[in-house]
Amino acid sequence: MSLLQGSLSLRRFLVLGPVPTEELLMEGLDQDQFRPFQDGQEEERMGWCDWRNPLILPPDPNWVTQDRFAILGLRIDTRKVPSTLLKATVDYRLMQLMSEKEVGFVGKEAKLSLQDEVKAELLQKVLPTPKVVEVAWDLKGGVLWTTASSSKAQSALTTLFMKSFGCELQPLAPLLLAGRLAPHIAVEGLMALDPLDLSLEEA
Amino acid sequence: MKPLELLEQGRFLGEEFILWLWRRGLVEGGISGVDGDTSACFVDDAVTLVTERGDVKELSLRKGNPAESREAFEALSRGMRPSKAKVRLLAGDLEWTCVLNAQTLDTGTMKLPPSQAKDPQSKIADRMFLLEEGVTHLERRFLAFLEVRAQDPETMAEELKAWIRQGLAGGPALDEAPWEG
Repeated sequence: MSLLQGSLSLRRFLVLGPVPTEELLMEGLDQDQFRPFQDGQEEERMGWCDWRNPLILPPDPNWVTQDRFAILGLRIDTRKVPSTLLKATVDYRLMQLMSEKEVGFVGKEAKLSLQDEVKAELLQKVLPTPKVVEVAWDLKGGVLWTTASSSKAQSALTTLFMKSFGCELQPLAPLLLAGRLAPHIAVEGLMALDPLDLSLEEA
Repeated sequence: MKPLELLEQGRFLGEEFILWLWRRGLVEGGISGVDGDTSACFVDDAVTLVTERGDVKELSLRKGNPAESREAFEALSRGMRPSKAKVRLLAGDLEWTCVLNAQTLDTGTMKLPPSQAKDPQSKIADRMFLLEEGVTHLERRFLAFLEVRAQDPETMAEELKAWIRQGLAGGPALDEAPWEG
């Protein structure tokens, strides 16, 4: 599923905040572009990428702006050491350590330290799993469309969007949409509505 | 208000909007009621109904013609409300289908009319246009629904109840799905 082909599952957000100039938009994308994992024990990384291909970093300015839309990719990479492999490796190293030192017991702190060391070592060998979420920001209409369907991806998008562009995202749910489509209907009136009782007494 | 509260507070509007679309599709040919708009919208072959009361909290009706099924009307008469429905939109020779979610009004698994564009730039422009076009048809209906809902909720409730009664009684069943006529 993508903006380019196939069926789409889309969520809409209202963008609250000033629309950036093209220069500021590109600055935000450049600043928070996706950066691959390096050393360290991070298990997740996210950042902006080009919507055509997640390996194009930072997004190509010539392809970001399409008519009144800014089209972006949000790449979220995760890497995780399989727990069975981690446990087996730690246990094996402990056995080796105990044999080398000729002791029958290793303290809790030393175990934890060894576990961190093994995890860091194995993380370097694990290939990350990339996920790309597409974003189409209607710069004139102040609405953002995204293929982010999970709450985790939506939360990542909301956080990064605020960081990069200083704009807040509000889900365009029924009440917000109502306020936007029907400004002549008082918001208080809409908020005061109660659900209709449609159950049939005789049923 | 926090986003989650906002979603929860407006959920009933989304549920009633789906019901309104459902009834309009069966009784009034799916029109929006806006002058000059010849598009039509119908609830298609998947509806999920939910309730907080009773032993069954969720009922998923799929395949066949759930929109006219006795099971659906029985559930509605017991106070179950649609949380999701697959809808089909027709405008001229263009057709969209999507799963409309009551709580968020998200459009899931949306199928757009085909685009003839070949290069990515034209293709995305085409698809964004078609996407907006489909959503505009839905929003036009949401606005029409809101106006009646805000101004005359009693009449809307009576119309919906009468339709549910009619559906329970067997109603004017259609021989074929409305979009196949």
